[in-house]
Amino acid sequence: MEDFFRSIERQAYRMALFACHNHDDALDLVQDSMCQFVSKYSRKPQADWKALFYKILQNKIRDYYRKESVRSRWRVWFSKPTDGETSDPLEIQRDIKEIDPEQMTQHKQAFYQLQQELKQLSLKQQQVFILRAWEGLSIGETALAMRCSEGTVKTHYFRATDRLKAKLGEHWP
Amino acid sequence: MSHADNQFEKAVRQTLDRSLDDLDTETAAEISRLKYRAMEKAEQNKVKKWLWKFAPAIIILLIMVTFNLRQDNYIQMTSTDMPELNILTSTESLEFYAEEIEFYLWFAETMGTEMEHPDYRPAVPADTIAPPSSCTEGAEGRDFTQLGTDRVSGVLRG
Repeated sequence: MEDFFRSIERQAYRMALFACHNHDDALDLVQDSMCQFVSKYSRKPQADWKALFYKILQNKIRDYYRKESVRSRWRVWFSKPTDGETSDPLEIQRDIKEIDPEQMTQHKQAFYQLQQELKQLSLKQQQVFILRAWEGLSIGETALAMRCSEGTVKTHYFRATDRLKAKLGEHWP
Repeated sequence: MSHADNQFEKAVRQTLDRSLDDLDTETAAEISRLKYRAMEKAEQNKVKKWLWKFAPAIIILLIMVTFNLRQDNYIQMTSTDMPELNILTSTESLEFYAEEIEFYLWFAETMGTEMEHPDYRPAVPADTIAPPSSCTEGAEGRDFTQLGTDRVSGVLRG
């Protein structure tokens, strides 16, 4: 179990971070998924572990999005209007630093571009693309993890790939 | 899938893999700690789950033990603490028992042993039998008085 977690923990964190854009929330999502996986699926065949773990993670991400949408509704009702200003000035500072190409190595820049484009995709397209292209899950496994049909997986993956290729251009990375 | 798609997918995979190496040490350490925390938490949850499974049985057992203990106490009280219970529930004031208790204990003891005495005669009202004519004078009268004295002194000597 420990070895399995060691093999997927960083990818899972990155995947959660793509989805929720927050370091602490991403860590919580991964930990909750691991916890649920140990208590529910540890007796399942080891070959199925990867798909089952990502299924739990996807459920957690979906729950996170639901909660976030409720929270954001409350925030809109109770927060003061900010005239389009970003609430946290440090956030702006971080972006400026990240955009500066002279400070980055080539692969960091490539990752940054990919990250930005992945963020533009819908959550389903993004997660299907990561599971298929990065984690190497089959269409069936991805469908299991995403709780959707294989046809939907194929459609999402095709659209995500098409859009990323178009946005990143031929010379990427 | 075309060759261009394969190349693109490969490039994406490499970029994302490299991004894992670029994680700062603090984040990497935090991620590696997650699994231990998760496994620990899952173990605690398992214990809690077992406790919840056995909770009804434990509650029933506790109820049974409590009722049995109470029953035992009741039996013990009726067998040994009856005189105290009689005193507490009687209509007489407690002061009465405090002052006269020694006399009553002595009286009860005397009555108990007197009934076992071979010359015991049940008490009868004084005016229903006439005292023997020789009660006040003569040898028979002296014997009757002597008999009563012997009985009381015999009880006192134990």
